[in-house]
Amino acid sequence: MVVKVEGLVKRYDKLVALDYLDLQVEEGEIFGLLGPNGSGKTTAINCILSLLKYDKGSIQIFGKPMGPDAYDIKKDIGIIMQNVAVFDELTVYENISYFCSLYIKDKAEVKRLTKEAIEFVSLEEFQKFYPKKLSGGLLRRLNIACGIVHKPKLIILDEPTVAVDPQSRNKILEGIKKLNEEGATIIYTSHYMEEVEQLCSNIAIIDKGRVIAKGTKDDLKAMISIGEKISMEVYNFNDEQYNDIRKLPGIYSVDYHDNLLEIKSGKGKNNIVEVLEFMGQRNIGFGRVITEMPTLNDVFLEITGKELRD
Amino acid sequence: MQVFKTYFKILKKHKTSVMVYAFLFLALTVSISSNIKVENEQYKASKVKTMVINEDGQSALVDGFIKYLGDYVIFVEPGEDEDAIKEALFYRKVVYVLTIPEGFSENFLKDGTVKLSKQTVPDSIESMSLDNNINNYFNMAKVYLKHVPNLDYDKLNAYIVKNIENETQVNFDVEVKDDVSYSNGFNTYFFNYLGYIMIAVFITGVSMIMFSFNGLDIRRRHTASPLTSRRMNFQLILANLIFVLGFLIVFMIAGYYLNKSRMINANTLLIWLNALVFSLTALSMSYLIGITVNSRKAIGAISTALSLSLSFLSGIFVPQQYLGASVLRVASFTPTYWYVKANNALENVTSFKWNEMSSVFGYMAIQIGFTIAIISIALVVSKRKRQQAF
Repeated sequence: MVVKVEGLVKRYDKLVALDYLDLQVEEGEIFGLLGPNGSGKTTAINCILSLLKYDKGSIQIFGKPMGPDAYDIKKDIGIIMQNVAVFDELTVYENISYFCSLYIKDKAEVKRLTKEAIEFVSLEEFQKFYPKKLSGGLLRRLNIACGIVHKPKLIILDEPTVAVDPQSRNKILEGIKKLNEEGATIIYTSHYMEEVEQLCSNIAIIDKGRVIAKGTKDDLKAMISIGEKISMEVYNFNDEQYNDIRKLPGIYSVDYHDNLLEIKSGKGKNNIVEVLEFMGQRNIGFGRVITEMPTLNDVFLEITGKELRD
Repeated sequence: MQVFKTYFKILKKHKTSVMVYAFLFLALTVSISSNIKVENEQYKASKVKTMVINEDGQSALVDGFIKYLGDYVIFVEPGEDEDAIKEALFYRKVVYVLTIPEGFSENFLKDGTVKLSKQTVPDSIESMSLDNNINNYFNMAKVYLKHVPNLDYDKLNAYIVKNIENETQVNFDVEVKDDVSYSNGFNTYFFNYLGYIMIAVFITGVSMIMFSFNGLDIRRRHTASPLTSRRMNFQLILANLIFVLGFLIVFMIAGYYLNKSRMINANTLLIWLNALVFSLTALSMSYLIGITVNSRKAIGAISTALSLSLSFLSGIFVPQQYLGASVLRVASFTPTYWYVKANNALENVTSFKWNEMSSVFGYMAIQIGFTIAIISIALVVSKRKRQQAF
């Protein structure tokens, strides 16, 4: 086990930021920490990295207790925070080389790793640029290069794609997958469920400082009663029809707004067939029909009663 | 030593702002140097352009007096009328117009009355000097006439001239080494202004660099890295000290080359020591600003405002003797005041006995006290920021 967090409690006066948080991260996995803003994700990361003191609990990394003076553990960790942490006065190359030299003493090795990191984030053309001359997406890539240049065994990314354009976001996500394929264990925090679904092998959903659900994305979806979401374009739909469709077997909830009928059904194979039969029997005209599997947002909604982005 | 090297890379990026102050300082040094040269030239009496209008006619008294005046004035031909005289005064062709009225010699001999009339360029120092010379002549003439019976005008004139030529030798029992007071005057100006430049440059340089290293996100990266905080602080302190000492050495060498004959004297070592002590105070101020201020623009503004206000308040730009008591009372709560006071005190030191030196060392001790206080505040602020930041 690479990271083991047990009963972590962090209080800010009366506010409980972490409430007996438990996490286990296995070697070689991409572990997602999903939760809305203010749920305690960054506080948990700061405690794991010993950037923040906590009130109770224990943290072990690579099987050893983590603390502010655990320098032998720190040398194998790379961090990429939400905000870009680079020196404005240093060029792209100088920044990456400097942060590498905090971990690696050999100058030739620093040079080699810096070059590799620049290639990894595709910043070869911008080596001599100062950060202020870079676009938001390029800056994020520089931030990632500074965090992974020393080839850490554990990489912690705290919302690395906030305010990033879609193209850069895809590049970043591809890069994270590649790092994982090269052997790094990754902890990825985000409030973007699509990213976590796309990337993570194991996910913990966190709210109010507590883990409310954890497992693979399929495990999490299996926990909830919704099995399928059916969306239909319907131009005439009255209250009587609304009440009748709700009575169909396996239907969990029905919502009609802006000519769009949204039906959430329970687990079952023939939900769409039954709905289509109902529409045909009542001669209700409809346009496009889309069926979707439940998302992590549905999981979060069912467990907490609120949306992830609330 | 990666932090140490990066410190100087960042400093290099801020070199323009530092160089601006450096050139400003060198310009000030050249200006001070030339001003002091003028002030220290030896006194030499100048002759006053004078027009003498003699309405008394030929008399031995008047002839002797005019001959006496020849040592002090450059005679200008009398104007033809009152307008010509006024025009000559207006255009400074003449500074002093002396009129010897009719019957002057007769009246003087009769009862010692001296009635001369004059017109001068307003507020002219030369005319005051000539007034003294004229008064001297007739006061002495009166004394001789009163005490030497049957004295003719030729002899009277000879006595007066001889009397005025007599000079009394005055010796001061003070050992003054070559050029010492001259040098100290320069040193005081030079090092007082250096105080201003130190505050401005250190806040610009050190605060900007500390701001970079103490930014929340950069600090997180450092804290999460295997670089110990002790090693990091050691490298930052070392870099700060080298920057400060380097700055002092460069400007002392520059000052020496600009003013070779004046820079080195008996008090130089102590003045340098005072500058070194103050540089540490300025460094601690810069460090505190660097870790408390949240924007680069604010650091620039603080650098300008603080360096100028402390310099005006503490006697760098305006000598302390010209500042009011209340201003000095306020200034005494600033380290610059004690730095300037020590420099000024060192100007007047003639021996290195304890009774003379104790006050100088006292002023330096107060600066060290300020440094310790500022560093203590910086440590508290730094600790609080560390606790609150993440």
